[in-house]
Amino acid sequence: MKKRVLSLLIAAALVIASLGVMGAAAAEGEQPTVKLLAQAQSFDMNEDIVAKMLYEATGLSVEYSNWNDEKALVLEISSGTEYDAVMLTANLFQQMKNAKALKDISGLLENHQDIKDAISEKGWYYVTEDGAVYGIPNVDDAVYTGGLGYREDIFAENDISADVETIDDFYNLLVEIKDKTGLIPLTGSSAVEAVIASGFGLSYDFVVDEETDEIKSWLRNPGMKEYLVWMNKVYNEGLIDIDWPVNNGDTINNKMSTGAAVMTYAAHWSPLNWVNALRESGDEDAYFDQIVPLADANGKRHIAVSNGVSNVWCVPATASDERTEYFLNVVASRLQEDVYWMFNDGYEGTHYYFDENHYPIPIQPIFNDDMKNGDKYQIGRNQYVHPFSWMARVHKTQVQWDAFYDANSKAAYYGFEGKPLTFASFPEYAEYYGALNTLCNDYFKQVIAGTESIDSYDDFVAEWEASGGVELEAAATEWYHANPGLVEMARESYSPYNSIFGYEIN
Amino acid sequence: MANKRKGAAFGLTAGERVFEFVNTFILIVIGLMMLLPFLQMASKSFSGETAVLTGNVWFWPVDFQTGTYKYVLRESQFWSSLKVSVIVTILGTAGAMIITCLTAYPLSKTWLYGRKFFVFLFVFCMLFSGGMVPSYILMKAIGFVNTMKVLIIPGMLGIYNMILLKNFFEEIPEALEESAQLDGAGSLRTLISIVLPMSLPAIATIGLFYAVGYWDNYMTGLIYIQKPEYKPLQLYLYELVVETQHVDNAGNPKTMEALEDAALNTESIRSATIMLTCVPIMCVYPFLQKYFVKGLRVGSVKG
Amino acid sequence: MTVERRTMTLKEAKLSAKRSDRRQARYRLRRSLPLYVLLIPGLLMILVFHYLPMYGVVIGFKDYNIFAGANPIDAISVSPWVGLKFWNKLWIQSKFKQAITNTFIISAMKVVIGFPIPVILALMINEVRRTGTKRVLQTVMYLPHFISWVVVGALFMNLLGTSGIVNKIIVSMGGTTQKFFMDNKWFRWVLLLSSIWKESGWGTIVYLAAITGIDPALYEAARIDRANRFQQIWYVTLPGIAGTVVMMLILRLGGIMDAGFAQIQVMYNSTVYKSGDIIGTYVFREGLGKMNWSQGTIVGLFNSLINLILMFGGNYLSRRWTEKSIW
Repeated sequence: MKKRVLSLLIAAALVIASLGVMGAAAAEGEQPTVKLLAQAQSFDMNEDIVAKMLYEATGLSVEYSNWNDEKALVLEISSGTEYDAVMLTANLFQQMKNAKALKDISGLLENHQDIKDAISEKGWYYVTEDGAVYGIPNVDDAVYTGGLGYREDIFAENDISADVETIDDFYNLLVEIKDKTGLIPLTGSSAVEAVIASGFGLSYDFVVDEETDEIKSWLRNPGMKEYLVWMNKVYNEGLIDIDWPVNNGDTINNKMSTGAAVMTYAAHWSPLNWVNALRESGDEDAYFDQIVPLADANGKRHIAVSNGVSNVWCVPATASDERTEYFLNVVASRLQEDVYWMFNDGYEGTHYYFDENHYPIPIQPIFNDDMKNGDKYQIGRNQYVHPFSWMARVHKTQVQWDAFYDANSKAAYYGFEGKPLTFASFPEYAEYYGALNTLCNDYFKQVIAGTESIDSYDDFVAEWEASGGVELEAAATEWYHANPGLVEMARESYSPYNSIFGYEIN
Repeated sequence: MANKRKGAAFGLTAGERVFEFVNTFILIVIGLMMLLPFLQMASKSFSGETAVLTGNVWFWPVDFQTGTYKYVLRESQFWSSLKVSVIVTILGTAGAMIITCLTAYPLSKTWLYGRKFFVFLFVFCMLFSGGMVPSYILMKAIGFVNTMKVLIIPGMLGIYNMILLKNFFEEIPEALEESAQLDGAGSLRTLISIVLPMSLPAIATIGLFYAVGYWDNYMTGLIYIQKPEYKPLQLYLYELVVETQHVDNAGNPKTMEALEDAALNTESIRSATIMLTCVPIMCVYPFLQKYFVKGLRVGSVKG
Repeated sequence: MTVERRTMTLKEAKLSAKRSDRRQARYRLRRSLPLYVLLIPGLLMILVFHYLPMYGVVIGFKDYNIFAGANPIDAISVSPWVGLKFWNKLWIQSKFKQAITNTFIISAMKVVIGFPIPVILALMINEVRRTGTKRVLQTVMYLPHFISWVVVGALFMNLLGTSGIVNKIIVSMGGTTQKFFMDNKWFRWVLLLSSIWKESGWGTIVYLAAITGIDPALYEAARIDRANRFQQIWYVTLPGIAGTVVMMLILRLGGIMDAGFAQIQVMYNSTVYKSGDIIGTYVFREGLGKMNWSQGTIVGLFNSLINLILMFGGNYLSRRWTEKSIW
């Protein structure tokens, strides 16, 4: 009895309290707190200074939660969730969309021309199916993250030229480095090292076969077998790191920072720590430059860029129009030009200033302290602002900017190549792609390290086919024939950064 | 103490002294092997970034600094997670000890009617589980998702610990309890006034297992906690470590932006965070050690 | 006459035995009643948190689509039955068989070699007389338990890597560099060694607690019989903790199918799949990018079944041979 009375009282109190809150909100013309479920972060997204800056600027109250486990997320969404919107990886987005778990927001977007304009056409293609729009895409502009970073100082000291064109040039380079320095010429951990693979005519795992006009895996390309044989050869000859299959970020960082290795894959943010470490331990001139992908037999360099859609903010199918409208208000507020600048880069004069080329240059250390997590608050990317506001992040230090500039200016000269399956949305892709990718990487590393002989290549291809490879190729081809425009758009890869480097796309 | 005095009074033979020396020597070598890596981590957390990156740090900090600790302690998520972990560990362990003692005691009685059946019931659910789908729905239905309840309550009966405790209870001579029951004590009172005082080493062991289990558990939080204010410390640590890897915990490659941000999260910061998450729970054991003294049980019976 | 009398008594005896059995059962039941009350919270716990969700196992025999119904529970009933489809699917994959073999081999190594080590360590620690030394040793030895596998993995990589200390010693003594992490003949030993290093000290706690329960009078009696330290350990300490050791072994058998997922996930790489890929890591890898709930459930069921058989078998054998058992 007592308990029932108690729970009744609590319920009554809750109702009154919520009425009060709603009344207050209505009176001030504010909308209720929007509940967002983002990917896991190691900081509290509600407490970060950026969250406070955003609230001050927009007046919209947002509460962040974070998901960690994909299965738990799917359970949360499928069992009727309280969240107004969820941030999904591209892969999960496809699965959820195919399962009809996401809300079509095209109708509500009609009233938000600002959102539609701010996000690039490419992004909208990705989230649209039969006229229905299933989310707000975070579009990645085509950026070349980096090729092989090499020690410019060591090359100069030993009179080694980094001017390499073909795979044979590169082999000679490795031999020369080893003979002259005795160091590990090349370290890394990738099953397919893009710079080298390009020399064998490999770019992406699924490409359009020009002869048959079908989507084919790179396993069908004879270059793949040649690449593996070559890698195994240099591995056996000690020209690349003996630890190749077991390396990870930490071990590679260690080898580069101690100067044990001369060359490795270097994204533009990597060399900074290496250079600092090398200089502090007495290597005053330590510096890095970039080697971009090698030319294949036809003289073509395959410069793969990261572009497409990495994350999508989606509304669960169960959400009401009213709540969704609140969410879209938040999206719209964050896409406004001044707000977008503000939460990505901070305030001009405090966190950054503009240099003579009109790049935003961070003011340190306050930029790193305050704005470190700014990009995590993006809900959709403003296509007009993002390429420029993001420049602050690659300008964090001179070393990073040099690496970014070196790589992109060289790469842009040869022309970028976009991933044909960037906009893939067929169910087979979501189902097989990840597992097949792991299968390939595992096998490639086994061959490189010699625990698996290249003679088993045909057996491996058969296994790959049986694990869904055939289905994936067929479905991809079918999808390509139905949507040739999407593949065309993905491969064309317009990059807003081209203007920065002064090249036009080939 | 009493035991030590007795040993001294008895006198050690030369052979025993050699045995003692060799034994202690071997244990110290083993102990060092287990201590050194921990020392290295502690040193890393106090060392300069470059020294850590170049692998120069062994068992003493190089370029001593405390900036990494300041950095970690400035993070608000660290403090809120620490609070969650402390509350969960204390409440969880207390509750778990009560339920586990209540369950283990009846099952330790060989004459319990239907004992085999009950033990089987418990052991069976240690081995079989219905999987994540019904569990998540259950937790959601009873309002446990995104609360501290989910971190505390379902863990309050560890079958493994319960069986351990049952085994310890079984070794207590039954005659003592029977005399208490003749005095008219109920089973609960017998448990509290006779059995528990005689099982302090076992209680300390199980308590330690529960406390460490609660403290180290990040899986429950991983699945059922989405709100930052209820994230336990180990989940925070887990996220920090995953952040530096090239794929997320589901195996998806990370975006360029995520990797770029992760480059700021250096090994010395990670080491400092690991130290800060380990140390509180490691302090529990020395406090419990006084219960691991030989002859304690018999002494308490006689006293 | 005499014969008849004897059969009569036998009949009578049987009858009265039956009667007294029943009487005894009734007595035991009556005596047990107050204890049942104490069991209620524990039973409620497993009922709600274990048995209630147990119906989820049917997912393994259906083609489960979580979005098929109004909610995931509804989806279970809506999804079609497929019988043993996912069970059969497991067994056509040669890598799954390899994973099972590895699981058993690695687990067996960990049980046969790894299990006795905490027992020995506990006996050794118990023989240290200085209380201070003893406490410090105990505290130090259980430290590694608190370090996560990610850190331990990196540590052993430093130690046993191609440029690690061990290899430097091997090379300086004229040997060739051993690729401990990339060599199928070494990898399992690396796993065993690192798991012993991490968990042995922690494992001593139970045995040390059990040793405290041994009656000191037994040691005094042994000393009076002029038993030396080894004999005291052998005839007093070891028998005193035998029950605990047996129980720990039986419990360990119930965990055979996890040969150390967290550990291997961190330490292995594709070159040592042949020796190091276990069921847990295989399923994790295969599950990447897809959400096959049904397949996952079947694997879980399979693991549980094997664990159940091993644990019950262990308990049965132990009851027959040592007269000690969990139930």
